[in-house]
Order: sequence, then structure tokens, then C-alpha cells
Amino acid sequence: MGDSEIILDAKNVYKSFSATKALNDFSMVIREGEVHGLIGENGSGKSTFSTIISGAQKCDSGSFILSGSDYAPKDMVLAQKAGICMIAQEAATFPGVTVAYNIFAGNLTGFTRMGFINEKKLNAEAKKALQRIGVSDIEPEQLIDGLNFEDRKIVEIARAMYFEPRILIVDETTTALAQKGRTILYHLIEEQKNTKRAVLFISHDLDELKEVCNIVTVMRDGVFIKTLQAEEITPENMRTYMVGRELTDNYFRSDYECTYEPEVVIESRHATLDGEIRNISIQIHKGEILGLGGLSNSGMHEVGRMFAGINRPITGEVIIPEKNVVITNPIQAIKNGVGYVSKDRDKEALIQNDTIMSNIEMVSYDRLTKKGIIRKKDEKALAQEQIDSLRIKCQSPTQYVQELSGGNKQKVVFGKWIAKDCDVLILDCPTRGVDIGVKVDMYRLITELKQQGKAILLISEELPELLGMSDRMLIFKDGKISTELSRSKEIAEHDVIQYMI
Amino acid sequence: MRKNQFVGYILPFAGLILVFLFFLIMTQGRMIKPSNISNIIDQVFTTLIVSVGAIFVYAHGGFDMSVSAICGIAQLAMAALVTATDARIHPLLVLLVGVVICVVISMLNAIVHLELKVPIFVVTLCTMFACSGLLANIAQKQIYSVPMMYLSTYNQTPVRLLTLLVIVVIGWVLFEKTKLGKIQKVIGGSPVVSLQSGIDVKKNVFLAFVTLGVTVGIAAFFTLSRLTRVTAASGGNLQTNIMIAIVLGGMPLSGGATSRLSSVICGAITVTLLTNGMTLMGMNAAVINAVKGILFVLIIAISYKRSPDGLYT
Repeated sequence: MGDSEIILDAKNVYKSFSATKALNDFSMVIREGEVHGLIGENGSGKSTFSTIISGAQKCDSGSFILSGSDYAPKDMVLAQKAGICMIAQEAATFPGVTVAYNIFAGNLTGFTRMGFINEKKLNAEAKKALQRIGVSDIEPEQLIDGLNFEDRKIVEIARAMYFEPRILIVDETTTALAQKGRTILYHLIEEQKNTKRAVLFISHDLDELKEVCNIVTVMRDGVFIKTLQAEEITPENMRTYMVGRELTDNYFRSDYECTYEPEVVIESRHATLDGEIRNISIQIHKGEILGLGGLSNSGMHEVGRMFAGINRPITGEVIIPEKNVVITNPIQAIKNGVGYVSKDRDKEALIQNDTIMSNIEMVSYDRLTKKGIIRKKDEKALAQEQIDSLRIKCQSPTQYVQELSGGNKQKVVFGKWIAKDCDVLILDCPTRGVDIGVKVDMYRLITELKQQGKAILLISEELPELLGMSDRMLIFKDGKISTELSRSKEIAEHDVIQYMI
Repeated sequence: MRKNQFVGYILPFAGLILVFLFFLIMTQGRMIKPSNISNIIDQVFTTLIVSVGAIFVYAHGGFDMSVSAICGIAQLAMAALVTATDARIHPLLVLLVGVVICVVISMLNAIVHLELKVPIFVVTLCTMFACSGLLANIAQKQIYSVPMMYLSTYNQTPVRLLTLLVIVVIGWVLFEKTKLGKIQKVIGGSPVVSLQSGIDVKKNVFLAFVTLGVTVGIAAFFTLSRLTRVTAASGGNLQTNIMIAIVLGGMPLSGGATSRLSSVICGAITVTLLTNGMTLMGMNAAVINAVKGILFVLIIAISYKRSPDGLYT
């Protein structure tokens, strides 16, 4: 493969965000016919690199040669025209307009005459773009808002492919896609490979990487670590280079006992949330990790929000039996020792534009207040304690949260509730978008919290995590509990899946 | 401390010194003549006091257009009270009435905003129209004033400086060292996160408006003691000055973590020096207002923090 032509040659790229070096003298080469995996833990710089070559942001220094000539895109449209298109990790469609406008956003000049847009031509061309990737069930005239998440992602794929890119960047897209979208995407990846073009494939899923890629570049802390070829691409290899140390496969709880104390800490009684869950009674015990599994629209996430007092049941109730308190709102839930880690960490669990210290202390003001005053010393001590015990990678307690990587942000959220010393922790997808190293820390921490006698509600879309951590597991389907499973070595993923679909 | 946090600290002070030096030179030193210094103290007094209250509202992302009008109405009510009692009522009782009136109107602002879910900008704009309309209407028919000597104690520089010091210290402790102030910044950072973290957003927004009301009432009392007469223009440019003080203090209008009382105090002094300096240079009030308006837009345009693109890994 070393003989095929170079498409993109990136040399000595640097990029810093204030004091954080996201890319540090990073170089890589992408050749024709490559499906090039780019891997690394969160914060290792892989998304930074892909956004730079796709024109979404600029590097501080470094040189790029694309197909033999200098390349320094000013924006994403110019990058697309030069032959590099990205399908982003998060949703990147424009709400309120049609599918066709989304496909040609930023590229409408061809359809404009005297300031008016020729919709007919636009729609016809959009139809072609969709057919190009083998999609016939999405209409160009449709409003994008009417599509589900996966179909919107497919529209993004059509937008990227319309430019017939030489390099297609797939940034963690497959995690958002179900079978239909994956089939389309894998087909396109295959096509890129066979037509002397290339794919830059960013993913956390090591098995998928092994399946899809023929070459993998590993980065860590913004630095190039190693390039793996062909047989070298194994999950064990990738994991080792990503983390920089040997990791055993066993990062969940080591025991297979279902253990908890008899005392019920919090329970729901015949609770119904309008249109989402029906007649749910759940008891969570002291020292228990109760896992909730299911598809993302099964109602399990809403159960978490209900226990946290955010969504109030229309019939039934959430109760703390010991105090005989009915939970009706978050203020009261937190007062009674219930902490909630939202699935949407960046929007609901953390104030991005504030310090680690402020974020950690915001549920503990009452404890910090002495004679009416909150002392800086106490604030700092509270934050520093969590930074040390959770090993949060940061410069100081007064660093802004938005500068941290995903995993470290999640640690701050955990720190906030641990500092508050909650009795109940509701964790909604606590390891979502968190890299392996931090995941291991999280699992260890959850086990520790269990041992301290906390009641934990673990809501997860990842089955291995549920199987590996829960004492009991409730599987949700269509807003109801379809089965209950106790911790056991014998349960395998496929035993559980049948109750989900 | 990070570099840009440090810059955020320094800028308001640098701005103050720059404005001071500029007008010192432009007015050939007239700015620091004793007579003008006492003028400046008079002028900075109300702006500063109300800034201390206003920071609680602006820190949670709130806004208040009605400050000047409320201040005017309170002066009217206090003057009417003094007239009705033939100036035999104790001045501190008059102060109390003024404060209560401002707090009540400010509470109404908050209640309409929180319970009827009307944007705060719209609510306070309506309050401004209502109050200034009422003030103009009454002031046209009858001139209310208080006897020269009645409030003269409160017009002495030492009394004013002491009052100012007490209010700034209390405000600083409340804003920087207690739950009330910290919560305002957190709400400004993200109302959703605040709610999910068990913060009573409604109660704290309400309390911020109460705090603002108290300071407006105090400012109204001291303004009345100095001018002794109530006209349709009572309340004056307070509103504009507060807004400029806030943005000169480096606060984004969305509030949040970067809100600092020390910076806003700096901003309040800067805006006073600006007004005073331009007046000394012979500009008339209308021109000064125009300059301030342009300045306000410019500062926001320069300091507006564009949200990061969210593409950082």
C-alpha cells in the first residue's frame, strides 16, 4: 500500500486552545485506497485534526499538501470544493428548511438567478444527490425537522458525497446510525476505497475499526503515536497504544454476586409519564446498582428524569420511604439526597462557561456557608478534593470547564454529586463519549459508591456496561418493563436483546 | 489564573485610567479642581449605588429598563409625603417609604416576568412607560419639592461617602461571598443546569430584583436631598449610566461567571468621568447622550464573546 499515491500530506501541525495543546507537531499522510482509522482517547486531538482539514477551524502552524498543491481551506465550503468533506459527530443540519436546502447549504449559487432560487432545479439535484448514495425514501421537499435523527444524518451523508470528495471524513457517525444508515455508509466507504479515494474514519469502537479500516493512526495528547497496518490492527493493539499502558479486558465489577441491603432508599409507585412510561414501580435499595436497559426511546431515560424530579408523573409517585417524602421537583429531590447525571452533559449537567470550582460547588452552597459567608478557601478545598480523588486532569480549580476533554468534564459532574454526598445517584449514560481510560475510572468509582451504600440507578444504552455493573437489570420496551434480570455470569448480550426489541 | 481571566480583571481598570487621563488632558486639569471633584462625587454616587443592586439582575442574565422611571416615581412620592406632613416626618421614614415603593415596583417587574413568562425586557420597558408617564403627568400639574434645609444633612459629602462605603461593602459581601450572589452568576451561566442542580431559579431572580429595588430607593432619596424638586425629568440618565457601567465592567449581557462587582464599580466611575469630562469640555446633554449610546454599542460589539464553535475535541 506504501506505493499508492498520496492524497493528503499533513506536516507538523500545531493547534492550542489557551493552555491546552490539542495538536503538537502532528503529521500524517493519507493515501489513495485507504480507509484510515484515526483513534485516540477523548481530548487526544483527533476531532481537532479532522475539523482543521475540513476547514471548520484553522491550525496555529503546519503545512498541508492536497493532491500535489498547497492546501489551507478558509471555510468548510472551500474544503468541500477542494475535495475534503466531513460527516460530523453531532447533528449538523439546519432546522426549519427542506432536505434540499440542507444538502446545498452554502452552495446555492448554481441554483440562483437574479437573486431567486430555482427550487425545481434544486429539488431535482437534491434527489440526484440522495439517489447517488442509494436513498429513495427521503424527499427533497420534506422539511428536515420531520426526519428522525438517523435520516437527518443520511442527509448529511448525501451533502458530503455530492462533492465526490477525495477524502471523506467520518467522525463518530456510525454510533448514531442504525442498520439502514450503516449499510449506506459502509457501502460508500467501500466505494471510496475502490475508486482510489480515501476515508478518514474516527471512532471509539475498536471492533468496528478493525472491521472497516486497512490502516490506523493512533494519537495521544495531540501527538502522533503509531501507525498500524493490516494484521497489526487488533483491538488489543489499538487499546494499548491509545492508553499507553496494558489494559485488561476486565474493567467492570469483578464479582458476580447480586448484593444489596434490604432497605429501599427510593421507589416509584405505579408511575405514569404522559406518553412515555406506563405504570412503573421500581424499588432501588441501599448499596444496589440497578441497571436500566433498552432502546433509547424505550422510556428508560424518562424514568431517570422522573426519579430526579424533573419530569413529574401524571399518576403515581416517586417516594423516599424512610422520610416519607414524595419527590415533585429537582430542588426537593436534591434536598433529599438524590443526584442526577444527565445524558446531555454539555447542556444539562455543566455550565460550560464557568470554572470547575463553581460547577462542583453549585449543589453544596448550604454546606459551604458558614455564618452566612462562603469563604474562597473552603470553595477551593471542596473542588480540589474532588479533583484529587477523581484525578481530574486540569490546571487548577478555577480552570473553565469548556476547556476540558469529555471524560474530564464527566468527572466534574460526578465530583459535584460526590461532594454533595448524595444517597441516590441517577446516572444516565455516564460513560457516553468518554474514552476507555476514563471509563475504567468511572466503573471503579461506581463500584466504590455501591460499597459505600449508595443507591445507584444506572441507565445505559451499552449492554456490556449494564451486564458488567448491575446487581439487577430492568429492561424497558415501549414504556414498560419487559423483564427483570439478576446479576449472573451466565447472562449474555443476546439473552437481553430479545427483551428490548 | 489564566491569562484571559487576568485580562478581564485588568481591562475595566485600564479603561478607567485611560478615560481619566484623556479628560485630564483635554480639560487642562480642570477635572481635578476641588469644586469639580465634589461634583464628581455627587454624580458617581447614584450610579454607583444602583450599580451595586443592578449587578444582581444583570449577573443572572436579567435586564431592567425601568430604573430611571422608578427612581423618579419614588422621588415624587417622597416629596409628596414631605409636603403632606409639612416636613414634620422623620427623614429616615421618608427614606423607608421611598425604598418600599421601589422594591414593590421592582417585585412587580419580577412577578410579571416569572409568573406570566413575559420577557424581562418587555416587562421593564412597559414599567418604564407607565412610571415615566405618571411622573410627567403629575409633575406637569403640580411641582413637588422639599424644603432646602429638610434633607440637607444627607447632602453632605462625608454622609454620602459613608453611605456609599457601607452599601458597596454590603453589596460586595452579598454578591461575591454568599449563596445569593453566587447563584445569580450560576443562573446566568445556564438556567437549565441550575434547575437540575436544585437551584430555586424563580426565588433567586425575584430576590435580585428586590436588591435592585432597595438600591434604587436609596438613590432616589439622596437625589431628592440634593435637587429638592421633582420634575418630569427626575430619575435622569440613571438607566443609561447603569447599562454602560455594567458593560464597561466587562460583564456580558448574558451574565454568568465573569460578573465582578469590583469591575462594575470601576465601570460606574468611568461612565461618570466620561459624562463629567464631556460636560467640562462644553458639550451639551443631548450630545453627551448620543456619545454614550454609540459607546454602549461599541463596547458590546468589541466585548461580545462569540461562542466557541464547539468543534474542540
